[in-house]
Amino acid sequence: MSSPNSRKPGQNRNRQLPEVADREAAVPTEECLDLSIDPQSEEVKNLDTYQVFLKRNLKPLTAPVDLLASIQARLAEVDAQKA
Amino acid sequence: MALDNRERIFKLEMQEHYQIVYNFLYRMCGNGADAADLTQETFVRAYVKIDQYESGTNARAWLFRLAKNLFINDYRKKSRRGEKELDERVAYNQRDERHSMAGFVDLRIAGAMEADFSDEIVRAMALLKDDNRAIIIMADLYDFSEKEIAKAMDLNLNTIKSTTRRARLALIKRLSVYAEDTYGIVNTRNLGV
Repeated sequence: MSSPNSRKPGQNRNRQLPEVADREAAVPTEECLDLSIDPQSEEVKNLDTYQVFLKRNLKPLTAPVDLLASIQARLAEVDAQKA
Repeated sequence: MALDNRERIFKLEMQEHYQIVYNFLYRMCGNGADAADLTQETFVRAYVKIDQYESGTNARAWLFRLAKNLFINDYRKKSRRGEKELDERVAYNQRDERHSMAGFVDLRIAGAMEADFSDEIVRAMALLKDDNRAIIIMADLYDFSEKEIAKAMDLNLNTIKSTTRRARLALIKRLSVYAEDTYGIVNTRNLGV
């Protein structure tokens, strides 16, 4: 009789042994943030990733609802002073 | 310039950019009320100086130039907050120098792409020099070309290229300190320094 924990042929073939896992990071299931810098050029290696990261975190802000009206009112004052 | 022509250029080429100018100034000064005031001043200045603008060129870059100059020349000089931020920046830089791993941390973190770094990015950006922060905002948030940034910053193209590189490096180094403190070091990489 085989033990319930005994491995059948072909099972867990791809599982990393602990000592290998210690040396090699497993492939992350979540999206990875790679902001590494090229040591020679000092440029961001993955510029697109970096820019998406910034844009996701600094989303566009909505201006105050009356801002455009305030600008137009100021411009009307300028015109009135010139007239 | 005749009034109707001034109004026409303003309405056709300038007005539509008020939201993005507000966003730029918000990211520069860090609060909505001041950003709204500065946006108004930017557009008043644009209207008054519209003779200096060549119709059909790049209104957005021209407006950003006015906005950046207003922020640095007027707002910074008037605001005591600027002095406070400068002090914080010096303190932070001193901390950075003591931090032996600064500049060596690899920021590759699983899941961090989805995580909320907004507060830390805002803080790290506030510690950049004003010009560097302006360049990062233009290049990386609003996809300005280097040529557009050069026009907005009134600097030559080579200076923009090198300053953009340095500004990104400074921002990432500051974020890496946060990432290290929060997530632990995932990996280390010698940047060849």
